Amino acid sequence: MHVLYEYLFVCLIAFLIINTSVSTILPLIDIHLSQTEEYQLEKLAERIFDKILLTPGYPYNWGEDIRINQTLTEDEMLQYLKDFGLAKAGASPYVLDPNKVIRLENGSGIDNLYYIPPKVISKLLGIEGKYGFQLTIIPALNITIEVSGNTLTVGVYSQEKVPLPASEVTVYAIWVENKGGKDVLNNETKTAKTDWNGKCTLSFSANLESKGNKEGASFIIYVDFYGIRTVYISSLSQTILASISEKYLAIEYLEGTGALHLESDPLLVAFPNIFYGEIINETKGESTWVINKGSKSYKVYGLSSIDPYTNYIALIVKKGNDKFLVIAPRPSIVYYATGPIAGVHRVKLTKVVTINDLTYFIEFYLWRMAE
Amino acid sequence: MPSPIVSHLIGTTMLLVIMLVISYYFTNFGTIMGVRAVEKELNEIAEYIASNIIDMISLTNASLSDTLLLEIDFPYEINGYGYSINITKESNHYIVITRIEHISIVEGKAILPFSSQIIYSSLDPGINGIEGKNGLYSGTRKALIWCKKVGTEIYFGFGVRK
Repeated sequence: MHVLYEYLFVCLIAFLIINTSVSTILPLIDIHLSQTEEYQLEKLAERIFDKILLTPGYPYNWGEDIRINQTLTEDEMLQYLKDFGLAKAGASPYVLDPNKVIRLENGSGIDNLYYIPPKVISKLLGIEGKYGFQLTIIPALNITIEVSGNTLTVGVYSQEKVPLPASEVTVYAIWVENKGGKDVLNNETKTAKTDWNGKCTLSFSANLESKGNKEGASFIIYVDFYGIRTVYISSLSQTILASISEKYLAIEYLEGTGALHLESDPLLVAFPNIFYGEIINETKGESTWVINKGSKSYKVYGLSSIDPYTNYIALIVKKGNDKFLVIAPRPSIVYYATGPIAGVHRVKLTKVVTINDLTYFIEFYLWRMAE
Repeated sequence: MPSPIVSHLIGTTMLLVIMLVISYYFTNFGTIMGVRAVEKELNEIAEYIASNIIDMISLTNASLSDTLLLEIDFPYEINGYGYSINITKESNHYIVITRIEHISIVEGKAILPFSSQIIYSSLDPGINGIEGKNGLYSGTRKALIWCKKVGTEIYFGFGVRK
């Protein structure tokens, strides 16, 4: 072979060897650097999560500031809300302010008039456009009920479906009863402890199973599992989920014709106490006790006051002969996100928090918008 | 075909050129990877400082005490280089910046996720036994972060124990 071809061949071999070595070494170095980047994302997530859970934001009582509402643009909201944090001012660590948490809730079927979009919070946290996040708040305990005759079986489980024995269960049953041609709200309270299977059965004086649509039988169930507390509300008739913002209750109309009549004063559930609230007439010329169809799909009621520790507001409404339970949780399950979870690397952090003496799991996801 | 001497000359020159290109490529590659590695370490230090600042601010919020101090410990050097730790403001948010200024400027950054009522102060905090510093340098002994609640505002900064 000619000597020139030999040299060309040597050059080609040298080039191939070097190219192969580089393409093998490069990913090895890159893996190490990527792992460091992932670790740094975790540190940032921890920092943001701590900031959200351990600081009250500014103003300290921004959850009660009704000037921050859906009529404002995002930039206008930032004039009132200067710093973001869900902690209750002056409270112990990991105690959240319900008035702040309900500002993140927009999934009750009714638009929350005081909802703050995630973009505003991203701006306040300084991560807008760079990182995405998701915040989920769910009750710590999972509760199921079964009604049979005059008995009610309550099942108490963890969110991982593990039965929780020796949980203290208190059930407050309410139903409407016609006494002397007048509808009266009846109630009965029972307590029990769950067995090894996480279940307990409570007997009531009335046949609850038969008190469905007509009497609107409903149950407010309070469970305490060694300090982990959850309130669960359920009804044998159709339940209407309402939203509560500050002292205003928004109730969505049911499908079909006919007005809804409020059957009772609202019950303010601040376990272990239950109070009767009062709806004040802030409507213009409309009857307080009839929910008329207006230009919107819901009607807003003003309550005279709400105990700050209220977990739920419950009331019974009537349509024709049927009764329905209206529930407004403070807060409900919260799902708050800048968008669907994305990114190759994402960090998930979980903590247990207390809202109005009830226990919730809070999950926080953080991911990079661009990898 | 050229004579064998010319062929050897062309071949040797080509080999030398390839060797030079490879050396240049590897030197650059090494430098870039080195800078990236240093940048990661600087980021890690910035993250550590930022996390401590957030912890301090959370504690100050929950604490009855108006003043909190936390001694911090960070590497003496990175790859033989000293570095600085500073806090700057970028679009309404504070950022912890760690920086090496040698052949080129290499920086690590970590954002502080708060926007108001929490203020960085480069001035002396007026705390007994503490000297306020506008930033820290690697190798600083008895370095600390201080946090002070004044009314509705929380001030924080760097310092050293006298």
